[in-house]
Amino acid sequence: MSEVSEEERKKILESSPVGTWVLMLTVGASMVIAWLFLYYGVFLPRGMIN
Amino acid sequence: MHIDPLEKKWAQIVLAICAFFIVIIMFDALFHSVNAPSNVETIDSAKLHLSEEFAEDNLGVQVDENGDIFIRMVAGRYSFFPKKISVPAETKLTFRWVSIDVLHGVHIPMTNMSTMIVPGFVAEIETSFPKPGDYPVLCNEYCGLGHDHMWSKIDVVEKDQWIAPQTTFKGGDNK
Amino acid sequence: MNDTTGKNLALSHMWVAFIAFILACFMGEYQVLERSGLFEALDSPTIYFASVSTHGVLMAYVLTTFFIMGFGYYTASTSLKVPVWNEKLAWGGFFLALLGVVLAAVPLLLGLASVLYTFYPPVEAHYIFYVGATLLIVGSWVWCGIMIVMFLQWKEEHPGEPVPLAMFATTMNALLWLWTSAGVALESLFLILPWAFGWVDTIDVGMARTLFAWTLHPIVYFWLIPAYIAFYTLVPKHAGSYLFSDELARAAFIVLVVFSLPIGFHHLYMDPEQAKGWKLLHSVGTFIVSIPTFMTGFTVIASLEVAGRLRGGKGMFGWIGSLPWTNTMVLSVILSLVMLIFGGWGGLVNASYAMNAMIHNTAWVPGHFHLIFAGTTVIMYFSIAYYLWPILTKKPIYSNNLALVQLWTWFIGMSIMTTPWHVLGLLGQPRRISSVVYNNLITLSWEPYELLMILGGLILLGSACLFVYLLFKTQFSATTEVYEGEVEYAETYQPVTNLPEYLNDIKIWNKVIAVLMFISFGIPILQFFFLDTYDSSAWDF
Repeated sequence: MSEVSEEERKKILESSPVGTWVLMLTVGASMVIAWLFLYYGVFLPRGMIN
Repeated sequence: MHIDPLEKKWAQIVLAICAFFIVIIMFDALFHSVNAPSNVETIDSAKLHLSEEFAEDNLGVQVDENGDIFIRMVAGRYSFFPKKISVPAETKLTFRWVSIDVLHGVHIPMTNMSTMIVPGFVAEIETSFPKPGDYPVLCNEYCGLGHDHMWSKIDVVEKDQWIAPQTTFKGGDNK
Repeated sequence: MNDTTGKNLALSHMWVAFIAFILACFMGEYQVLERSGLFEALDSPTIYFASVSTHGVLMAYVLTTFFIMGFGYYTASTSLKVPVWNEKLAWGGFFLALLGVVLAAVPLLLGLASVLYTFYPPVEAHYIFYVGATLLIVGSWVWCGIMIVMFLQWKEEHPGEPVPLAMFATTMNALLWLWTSAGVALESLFLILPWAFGWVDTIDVGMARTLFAWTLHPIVYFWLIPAYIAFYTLVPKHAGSYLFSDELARAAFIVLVVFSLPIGFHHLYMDPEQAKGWKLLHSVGTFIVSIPTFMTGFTVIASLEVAGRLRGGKGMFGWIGSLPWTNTMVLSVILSLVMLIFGGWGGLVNASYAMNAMIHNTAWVPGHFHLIFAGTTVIMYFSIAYYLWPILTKKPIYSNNLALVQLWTWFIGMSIMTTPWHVLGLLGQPRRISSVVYNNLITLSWEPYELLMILGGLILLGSACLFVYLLFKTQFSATTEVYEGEVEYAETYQPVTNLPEYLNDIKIWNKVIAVLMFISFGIPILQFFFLDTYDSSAWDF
């Protein structure tokens, strides 16, 4: 566990969380794709419903 | 209110994802008749034996004068009646389910034939079965200690090989 | 500050919760073993359905309500730095709720209330069961009242100041529970109790189901919010940094509470007593309530990213590895978030109106709620307990390493148990069956998944025992070491200034909820007074 300097510390605390951003985009995209797979690939092919 | 620029972008993406799902669902509901079964129709479950529509010899598969297929089923501890029915694949079918006793649920695995059967209501659902086969009809709501055993059979036959039953059609509305 | 009352209330409530929990865990493993059909000696629908009913009541009503009340009392007094208001009343509520539990437990364990934790009429249990359940709910209303009074009193004494986030969220949760429990309370007082006592012969099944559906969705947010309170107000400090955004946290709690209520019909999608217009309306609200969870994910993970980077983590994802994984609060939030991704996604599937037909009342449903509740939520209950126990008992945690093992095994066991459970649902296996006796080939495809679930359940049972053991040893071991510590709430990097009143008040949201509930449930419930419905008589099981 390395120490961060005072100036690095300030930079971290004031910058945007890019890792989180990429992680959330990946999670969001995966969820949408998986939902589409279930909706168009499993649910609708099982027959009409009304 | 201060909000981090990346978090703000994320909020917009999340709103877009939700809107995306809602639009697909609404569009299919309004324009492609993809709906949860929601026909609100009452019936006296305690007096089914007096009902014309759900009289025993009117149950099961019937074809009306327009060629539409109706299937009237009764759910009661612990089976679905008639216990064995046969329907054509790839054809619109209208099921009408009633309970003679308690709450049941019915689902034919690997199909969209799924509905609750609430005493006091006729559960009507339009569906179709793309794939022929021998399917079980399963109760999926707890209805008592015999719930495990509550099931019946449905034979989904190739469309051109299905033979319509020879019964006289006795009315579509429950009386 | 002398907060012995707060401490005793917290410990008493939480022990009731965790004792209920461990008993229910043994029942859970019995159930998965019995259902597999591998051990003929266990085969018994009578015992199985009594077990499922008891397991459901203990986990869904006792573990949750008592944990939340205990955690709430302690959060209120430590975050506001005041004693719990009206200590006698608080104990009164505790004993009333406990009496309710005992009254419900007797018929449950005797097999006289095998109606499951949802107790849908017209299958009828012994009336004492319903009385017990009602008293438990009424006892919890005492807690709600005390939380709201403490909130309002503090606001009066600190005009213009932001209410500490932990208490704002706790009070919003108390408001949520009052609105949520109203549904089942109405069902109980006006439909079930008169029928169970024999004052009326029949019961309106459609209305009962609709009123229960009112409660059934928001209750899971009542359970979830304490986990989110830990996410926002405890985790960042344990990770070594700051809460990324206080205002967005408040906004998330508000949207969660407001939109978890008017959406109960996604539990009734397959029901014939409600029309599709209402079901579609509720589905829109259900997607809206996913938004605060997506935002919570961002805020909490961002707080962790800052913490990891401050500890030297470099690059896009290096901060993940440099987090303090040996801190139980940090480990539990990481594992909780992983389960939230999968459990939350399952929730999106359940919400999707007609697509619900694919999984309604199949094994997917218990798979889903074990993952999201027993997984995401309960793992945070564990880590809150690990954090509070040394503070409450003034003794150090018996073993941090064993606590880490316990959390990992809970996560691993839950993953192994719930993944096959979801698959079984897609393969059509119904829920609430005690054995597989259908004479159809499809049931053969179910067998390997049943076996995996036995293994997952076994790991979970071991983990649950370890959890209770650790709390017991921490509190009762003969150690002379004294632990001196107080609850430390996370802070933001920049102090909160100019907090808008709507992010600091509950009254306005109470009104918004009332309007939304009237729109979403008004006509659907009133219709039962105008429809020609035929009520059902009682049936035994």
